[in-house]
Amino acid sequence: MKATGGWAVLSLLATAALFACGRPASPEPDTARLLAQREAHGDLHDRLAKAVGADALAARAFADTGQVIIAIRSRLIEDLMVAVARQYLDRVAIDLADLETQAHGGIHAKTFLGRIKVGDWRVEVVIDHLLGRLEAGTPRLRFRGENVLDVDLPVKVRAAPGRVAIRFFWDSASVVNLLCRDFELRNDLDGRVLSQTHTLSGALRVVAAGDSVTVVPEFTNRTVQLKLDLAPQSWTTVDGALRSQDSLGRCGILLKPEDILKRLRELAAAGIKVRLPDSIFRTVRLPAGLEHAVHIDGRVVQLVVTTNSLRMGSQMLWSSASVHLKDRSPGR
Amino acid sequence: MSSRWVLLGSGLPLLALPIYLLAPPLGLEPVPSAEEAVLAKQTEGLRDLVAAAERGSLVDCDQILVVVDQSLVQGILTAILPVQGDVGGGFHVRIDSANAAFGDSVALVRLEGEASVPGRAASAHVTVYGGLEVFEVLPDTGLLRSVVTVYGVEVPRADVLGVDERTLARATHAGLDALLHSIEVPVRLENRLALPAVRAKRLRIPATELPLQVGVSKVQVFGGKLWVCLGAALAGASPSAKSGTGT
Repeated sequence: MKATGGWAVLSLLATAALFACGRPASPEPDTARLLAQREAHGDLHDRLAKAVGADALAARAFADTGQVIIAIRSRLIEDLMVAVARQYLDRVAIDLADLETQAHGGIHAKTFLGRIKVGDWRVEVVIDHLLGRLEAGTPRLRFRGENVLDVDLPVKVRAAPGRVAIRFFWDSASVVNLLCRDFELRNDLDGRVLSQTHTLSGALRVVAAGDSVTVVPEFTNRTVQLKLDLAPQSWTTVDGALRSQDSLGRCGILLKPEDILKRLRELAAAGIKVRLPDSIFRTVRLPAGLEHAVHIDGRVVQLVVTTNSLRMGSQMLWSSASVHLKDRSPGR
Repeated sequence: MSSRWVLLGSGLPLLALPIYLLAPPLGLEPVPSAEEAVLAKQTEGLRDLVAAAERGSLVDCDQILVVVDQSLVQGILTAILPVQGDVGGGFHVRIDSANAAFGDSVALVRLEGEASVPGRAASAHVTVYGGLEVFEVLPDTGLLRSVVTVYGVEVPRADVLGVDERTLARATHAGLDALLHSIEVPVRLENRLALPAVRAKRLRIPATELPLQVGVSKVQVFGGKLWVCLGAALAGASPSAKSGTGT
């Protein structure tokens, strides 16, 4: 209140001074009209001075020592970030080639010698070629404090076809290696990434960057499990390949193809771990900033801009800067 | 009332002044002084400010608020001084000093200098009272700009140049348009959010631009500061701000 009262007096004095300095040395007497105007003006000025004290935003600005203050409603920032996420991340193509996952297990059998291990199997799934497409949904933003918004970003993965290599390895235990050989199967198959949605959780940090205010995304955990599947005919092919080993001397007789297929399906459903590149998240410059030079009728005035403070609250981002002429000492 | 205080069209943009120059002289009717002109503007603006303040919505910006201190504008004005040039009517004006006082709804600037007639040694002191009005966001640079509107020109000793005050004041008023038409405020409003393309090993994202409609929705002046409310809306969305100008 003191501050606002102070500005009122200063403001009135400053305006009066402008006229007093310019008034002729021997002014003629004021007219009644001028006196009435001054009285009406003074009354309104006093009423404004009293009312201004109740305005929180004005009071905050008067308490700020910056020459330029830029205040942006948090809601606008959130709206812009939602728009950026939905439009910029609307057409993300991600190359999933060479990603792989694997599973393994052992097979035991009951024999007259008791339960013995007959061998180990291992299956590898490698994506040969698959171009996925991601789309961001509407992010959920929550003000955390300290210039940070927490964000949950839904990422939709579109179904997309591709080629997948499945390698199956059988390693017979030494005791049965006399009866049957190790073998390896490889099939290049039609596969696909399934339609799915993942939620990435991270934060948006608002920072002063020179003459601008930027929103910097921070997503430390960018890993998603991409669920895959094989085309129906591909499953048939795998099933057939496993069953082709089901003969004496090839050890497939010890395998249960349906069990292996089940593990393969579980493997595909669990998905392949994909760490999304950091570059998917971009720093965004907010649309209001400061300029280092202004032009006045063809003349250029260079300025030095120094950010005094930047604070984002639940309602508003408040940025204050000192702006001085470049070639002159501050405060001139 | 002092006849030395000459009003040359309160609130008229300088571009409109040639019309004024062609108008017939005011004759014997009392001419409002520059002080009266400013008081009238301030009183009118104060009514709105007081009403808003007493409603509890003095600074009522939905989206972006820019507050500019008068000291910055005064510094910028001072940096370009002196400005001088022929203002018409055979007069030459040189502005040497500038002061800014932002209060009571008027962003008042006072410019002082000398008027002279080429070839004569004498000169007359000139004081110009003007204000920053018609704020707009320049579409090409995004900078915030205001037009300098002259409220009045005072030439107490025009007679030393052998002319009457009114003639010299009118010429000065009209000619100032060429000397000081507008002032930029070092605040930039982007009319788009630009995001570059990504072409990484695994990732392809095309570049995207989100057009923004940015405009001044309201300008208030009090307490030594300019309070400029701006709206920003994604193009295509319902705009919450005028895309044009505000005063």
